Amino acid sequence: MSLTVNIKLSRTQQELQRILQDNAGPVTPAESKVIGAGITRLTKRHLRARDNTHGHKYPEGGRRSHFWRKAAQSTTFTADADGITISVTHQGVRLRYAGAPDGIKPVNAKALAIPASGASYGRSPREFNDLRLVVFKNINRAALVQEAKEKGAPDKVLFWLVRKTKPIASDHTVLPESQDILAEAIHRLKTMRERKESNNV
Amino acid sequence: MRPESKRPESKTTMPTPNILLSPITFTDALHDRAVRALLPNSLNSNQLMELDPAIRNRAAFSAKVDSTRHLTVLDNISSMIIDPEHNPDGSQRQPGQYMNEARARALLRAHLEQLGYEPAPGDEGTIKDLRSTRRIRLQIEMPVSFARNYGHAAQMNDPAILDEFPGQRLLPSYANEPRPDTFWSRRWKAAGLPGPFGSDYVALKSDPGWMRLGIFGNPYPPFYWGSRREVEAVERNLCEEYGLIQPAETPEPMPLPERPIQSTIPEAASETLMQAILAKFPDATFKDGVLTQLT
Repeated sequence: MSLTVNIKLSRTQQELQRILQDNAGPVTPAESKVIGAGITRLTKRHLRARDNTHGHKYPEGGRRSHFWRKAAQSTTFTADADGITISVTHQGVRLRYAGAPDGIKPVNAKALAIPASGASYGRSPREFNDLRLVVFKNINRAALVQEAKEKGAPDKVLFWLVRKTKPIASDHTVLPESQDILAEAIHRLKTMRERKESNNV
Repeated sequence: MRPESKRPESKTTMPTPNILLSPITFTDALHDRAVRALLPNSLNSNQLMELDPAIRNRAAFSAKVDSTRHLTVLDNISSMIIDPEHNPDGSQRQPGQYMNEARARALLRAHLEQLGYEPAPGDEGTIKDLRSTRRIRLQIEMPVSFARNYGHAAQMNDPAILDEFPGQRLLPSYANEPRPDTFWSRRWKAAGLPGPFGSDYVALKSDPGWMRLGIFGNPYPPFYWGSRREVEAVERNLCEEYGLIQPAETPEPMPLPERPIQSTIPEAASETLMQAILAKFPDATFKDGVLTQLT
């Protein structure tokens, strides 16, 4: 589900004008489009930078899904006289931002499969055709296990099966800081108005 | 990459932006999918590249996929990834009806099994094998990337936005095993694009060189099979500094491919597509609606 930053111009434009000491009037629809484009670029940059620092945590490596790069690619905006709306429309971004304080329960399934290694990260159990269910009674857990390809090597746990995840903490660093978003809006408006003024001179 | 102008520090008390969890759809990206008609075919990727970009941009296809049913599944899955809020029939997605890339790959593989698909002898596990992980990833990632990048380019092509952001920068690759920089610097020069300015690959969005940079004829990414080089908008002041645009000059728009809204009835759209191909390749052959030969 998507995650949206919404700036109501009616609330902010008086402040913007005060900061800019600007008598050029309210933010026009064209200006709000440019502000929207600027904040979209800021958000995409933020998400791409996050992709560089948020690889998966499995020590044995494995293919990266580049989740945040794809989130950056899915960023869109709309702007009109009332406000500017920037949305990240990639599946899973909202969950990472808002978290799930009660954990996640499966819908239309009996259990959730949680990746247990770099080899299963970003993949579904249905993508494997050599998994078997193993119940570890000593730790009271069930897993999908892949049989070792080499003789004598141990089988590998690829997914843990759970009926409910632990609570997932919200993470507001998914989006740029509010003051950075507003600083971009101010900068964009200021640049446009200064240029308009200099072109009119 | 050159730093762009500094932002003023905001130390004032501003009303903070609202962060909403309400559903929003990337309409411009979905538009890229909506205008495409299914093109079942038995051609390889090199033969398909002979088609004009204008035709390819209106077709949903994959090399040597002659099953309309499988193309429909591919098309629906791509649209469901682009729009996490709605099903292909427009109904609201319910809890548990999510579509991510892992689920998409599993569904595609299951569908191929259901169709009884078998790769040609010797093709097993290669990119020609529709069941192979590499091929399935490509079949999902490319249409989604085309649609999102088209959507972004269309949004940024507004005259007011172009005036502030007339340029576009080619960003470094984020592929695990990227092609060497020399590969792209050669293509950049061969496309007739200006610079590069140090390591900064910037050109005006209106520069037709962007369409020559890639192999698909589009001025937006992806520029190559499996390429992971994106672009970003570049501010006017830096474009002026690089001598790409003059101070009071009005920037030209990016030459985006036309996206007329065609009939939404797949059969009718396919008929239009077939006629467009026949107009360009009079000797093209369709057998039971499947494009089997171009010339």
